[in-house]
Amino acid sequence: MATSTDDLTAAAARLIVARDDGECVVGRPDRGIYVDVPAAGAAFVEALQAGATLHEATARASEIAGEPVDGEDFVAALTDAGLLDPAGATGPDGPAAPVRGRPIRWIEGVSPRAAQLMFGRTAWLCYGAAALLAAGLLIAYPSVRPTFEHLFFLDDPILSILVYLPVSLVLSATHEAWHWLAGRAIGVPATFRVSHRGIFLVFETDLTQIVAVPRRRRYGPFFAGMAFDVCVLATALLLRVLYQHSVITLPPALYRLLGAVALGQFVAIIWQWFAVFLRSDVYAALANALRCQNLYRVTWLTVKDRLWPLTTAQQEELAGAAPRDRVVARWFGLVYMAGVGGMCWTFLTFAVPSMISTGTWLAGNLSTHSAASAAFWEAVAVAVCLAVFWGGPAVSAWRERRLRRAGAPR
Amino acid sequence: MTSAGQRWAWRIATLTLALAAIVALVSGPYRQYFASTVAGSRADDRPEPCLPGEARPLLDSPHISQAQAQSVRYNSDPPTSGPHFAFVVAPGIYSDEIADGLAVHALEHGHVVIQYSPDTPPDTVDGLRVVAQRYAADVILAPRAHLRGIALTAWGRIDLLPTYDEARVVAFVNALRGRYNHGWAHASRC
Repeated sequence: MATSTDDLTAAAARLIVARDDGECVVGRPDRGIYVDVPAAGAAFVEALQAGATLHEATARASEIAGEPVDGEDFVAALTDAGLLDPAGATGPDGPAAPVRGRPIRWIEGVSPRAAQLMFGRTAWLCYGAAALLAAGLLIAYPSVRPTFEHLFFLDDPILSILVYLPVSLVLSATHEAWHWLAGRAIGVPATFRVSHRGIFLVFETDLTQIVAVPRRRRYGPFFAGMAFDVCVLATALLLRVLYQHSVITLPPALYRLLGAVALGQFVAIIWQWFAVFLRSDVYAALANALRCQNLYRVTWLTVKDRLWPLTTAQQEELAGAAPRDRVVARWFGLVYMAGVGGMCWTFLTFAVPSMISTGTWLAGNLSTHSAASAAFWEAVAVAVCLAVFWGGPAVSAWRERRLRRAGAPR
Repeated sequence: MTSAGQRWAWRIATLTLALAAIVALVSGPYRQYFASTVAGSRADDRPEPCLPGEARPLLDSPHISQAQAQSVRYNSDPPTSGPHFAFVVAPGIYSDEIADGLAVHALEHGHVVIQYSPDTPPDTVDGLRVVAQRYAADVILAPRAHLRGIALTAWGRIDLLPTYDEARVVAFVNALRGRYNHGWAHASRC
């Protein structure tokens, strides 16, 4: 544990303090650790950051609390929580935090002022108009409603998948870039990584440092990805409607590709609303609106406790969770269980039949065609795509489990 | 923390819901959906002489591989039902030939496939493109080698046109689009 004033000042400099409507959070962004503290605790850390001695910071905290507080005990608590480093255990920068994602350096070069242009009042009015336009087109023109067959927009289904794959990756990455930019607009840096949600492989942006800004300012970054999605969806649908009514001319292949894009964006938006139990963007906004700190984890512990005894460490974790999280988790646990049930249903009704029919196709081609034929290698390409799509989440889950065991923050 | 009694109540409730879902899966509409997705759809013939074109008997329509497709014999040219790939092709205008395994799957989804001879005059192709664009969600338009004239196909139905007749094409599309989708979509219209 840091002891000298210089040590404490240096250690406290790595922390952030966030206040919002009486709530105080002290966090260490490089480790992704954020802890609820009383107002006196926040004042204590701020005093240390300002260069106060332990005695002075304790006096400041006691003043806020209205009663004497034990500064040394609070420092020990911060150390136990992983916010401060144990004495003698660190180099100048503390122990390396386990890597959870790859920081995107170039995003740091985007100034908040430039990013704010994309997320000002006018911009959000445009995003809202795009959402209304997309909804209106889907209601008024059934002929442009996305169906799964739109994915096969070329006369070769394998080529369709292989061409659409990079398109979908670009769209997913841009969705995340919009989160980055929205975070940047309010001065919150973010981290990008590839992860999984249940059985689904996803890109995600780590916005944990958003706890440093007031809750009412967090909705922009949370909804920014969907704002991008809805703009792409509205554009694709509008172009398809105009083409169908001969208002514009498009190359037929582009028209069909727009169908695949509309399908992908439609699914992406629906996913955000229905995967609220899997930490989707809507989950983040909901947890924020419900004033929760770590709703997903507390919900998981609550659900497990209902069905299976918790370990001692898990019992302590649940008991130590924010009271608000525990209250919300009681009913959100039902949402979680319903969501897991829906995911299993989707797997059985969609994934299993698709895998069986595709597997039949693959087995027939791989066993009959020689390695010198295009059909053989098309089958290999499909097998690789399926392995990535269905095996990716499993690999990601294994990797994250390994990182957790190595001590990475959740 | 949850007491042992409460925990058993939660377990029983969860298990009951899971069992109900499994029963629904194996006995409800999903069973037919699963069978049609994995093995292809089945339905009784429906000749309906009042509709455009000619009826063709429905063939068993399982999913097959490209290798198996080489030995498939359909009962019409172009085919109107029968074995097909697990993949499908989106409605729209194509400049290259569509494999029968894809076209038949599109028919199974209720689409109309319009195919024309490679030596079809450009103005006729333009006319067909206008129709295909007007019915962009329902029609697949593509050339077909070894075909003479124009072939209109829907599930279990075919009309062969020696020359372009827009009214006949439009009538076929209007009457037969969406008539079948892994099963007959409507009651008999005749």
